[in-house]
Amino acid sequence: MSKPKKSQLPGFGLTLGLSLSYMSLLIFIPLTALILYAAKLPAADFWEIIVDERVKSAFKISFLSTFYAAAVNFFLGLIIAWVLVRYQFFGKRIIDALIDLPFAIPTAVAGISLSTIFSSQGIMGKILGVFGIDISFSRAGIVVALIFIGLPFVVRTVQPVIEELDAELEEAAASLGANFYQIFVKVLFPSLLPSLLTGFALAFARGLGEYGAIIFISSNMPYQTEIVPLLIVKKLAQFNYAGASAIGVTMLVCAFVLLLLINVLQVYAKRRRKI
Amino acid sequence: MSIAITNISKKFGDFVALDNVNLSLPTGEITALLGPSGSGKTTLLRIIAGLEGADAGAISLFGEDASRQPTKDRHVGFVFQHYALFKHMSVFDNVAFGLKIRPRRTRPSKAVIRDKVYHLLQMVQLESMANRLPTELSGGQKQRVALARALAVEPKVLLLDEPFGALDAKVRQELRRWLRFLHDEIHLTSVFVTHDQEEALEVSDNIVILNHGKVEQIGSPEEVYDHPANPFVYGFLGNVNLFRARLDRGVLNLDQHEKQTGGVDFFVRPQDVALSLTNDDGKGVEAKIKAYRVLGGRVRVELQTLVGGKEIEADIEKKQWQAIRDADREPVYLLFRDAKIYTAADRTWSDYVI
Repeated sequence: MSKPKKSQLPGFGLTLGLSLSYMSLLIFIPLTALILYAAKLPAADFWEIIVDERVKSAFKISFLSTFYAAAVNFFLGLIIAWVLVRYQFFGKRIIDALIDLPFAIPTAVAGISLSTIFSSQGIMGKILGVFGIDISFSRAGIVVALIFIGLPFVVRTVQPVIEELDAELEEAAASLGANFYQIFVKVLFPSLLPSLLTGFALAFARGLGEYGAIIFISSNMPYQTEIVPLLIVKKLAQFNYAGASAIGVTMLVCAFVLLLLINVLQVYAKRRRKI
Repeated sequence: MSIAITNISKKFGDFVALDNVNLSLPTGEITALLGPSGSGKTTLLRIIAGLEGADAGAISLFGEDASRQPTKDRHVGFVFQHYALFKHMSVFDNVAFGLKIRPRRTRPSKAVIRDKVYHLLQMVQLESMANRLPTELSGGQKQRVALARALAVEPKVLLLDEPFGALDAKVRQELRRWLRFLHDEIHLTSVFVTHDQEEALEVSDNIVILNHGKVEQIGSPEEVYDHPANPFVYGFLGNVNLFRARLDRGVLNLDQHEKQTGGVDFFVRPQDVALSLTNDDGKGVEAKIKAYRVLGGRVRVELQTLVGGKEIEADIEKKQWQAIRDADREPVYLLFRDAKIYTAADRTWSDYVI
């Protein structure tokens, strides 16, 4: 019997070892600590914390707002990436650079600016007030803040894919009589879908954990505009570590399941139709 | 005339791709646009399709001015060198695409589309592959799908941009014959771009030879091969020995340099150079063998004339080469069976007869 063949590419052992140690230090160990801490709670107590009405509504607000924001970014991010790649216009470089700003500025600053312009005295708030729309201190405000935070994720994942699109595919479709919208929907969009889903997943994951931007634009009212991260911070402030970790673990599991789901969807979109 | 091209010019920056090109292409025939890379042949094809805009000039398709029409309204089928199949669609859906996207009032019913697609797939011998994805096909199969897809919308003109360029030699050969056969069945006006003179000679009814954005010659394959308009066309359609020589009362004198006056350009194809061990009639040119290469049944021999030192290539049969090699004698004698003389001053050809 011969030994199993070694991979042609050297360095597998070393790089995998490094990856695993790094992941352990940064992700596995802290998360395990969190889970172990929550596991100290008797199951009944854990359940009681989670099914509390206030906690449940916080979960609902967090997940729904994040979903709406990521969905808006799915489309807006696609349009912005498309414009940045396909058209030439004055100030393109500057707009391209501005896309990354939400990554860079402290989220609290973003939250304060957004809540100022959307407040009843702010420029946007005044305009929207005419139509009776109130963004600041409402659930809509949470979504606005999350759209701001999540935008770069979609733009930056889709942009390189649009750049790589094969122009001949569009030309072939045009020669077969397709107009621009048919080309976009039937030829280009299917090629962009996997990267759009990646961008969506990133924006969604980032949005779930967002705290700084939201607490300034939201009124943070329990049952109405209170998000999960804020609830955790409040529990911690009351030295209720067990309660905080129970909510944290539940959040973690929910987020992991959702991201896994998006990943599966993405694999499906990549493999496309096969009979 | 189905395609009329008038005064078309196109520049890319400082590069002149097409320089005032005029052409009219006959209905129901295959025309080859032949030229070296950078000659503007692909640009011309893309302008006919509307994928590229011309800087000046007009295109008319079947008597209708198409210069301002977008590609989708021109009813041209376009086949790309790298197939450009829709990767997320099955072979069936690729072929059906052009029919499915029609507005409802002109769109055929599902059953009609299905019949038509299967008919086309049968024509390109791929019915069994209808449910495959493009990634599961070979290059030749992909190109046949691309052709079926282009034919599905019943184009008035079929345009092919180096359709066999990405395929290996054997498949290319097969597909060429098959395309010629297909054309004889459906008689669709077709234009294809190639840089391969053999392909142009084999497939087309008409050849348009382009160089540096200008048309050098138009004609049937036989015409352009036998009566090339100028040295460029002569050299481009197959290998050629070109050297400067002088004619002293009809006798070839190779002792002539580039710069000397009174010389003529002498063209002879390698297969028209005969090698002989003897010089019976005294008309042979003395030469020594420098190198040779056996190419299957034929041998390419590189020689140098003793007078003038001209490099000459001869393409002879293997048997004859074996006889010459076995004799191992120097010098050998060259006989030019069919040579042409080009006089640049009045741009005329004359035959050199021994």
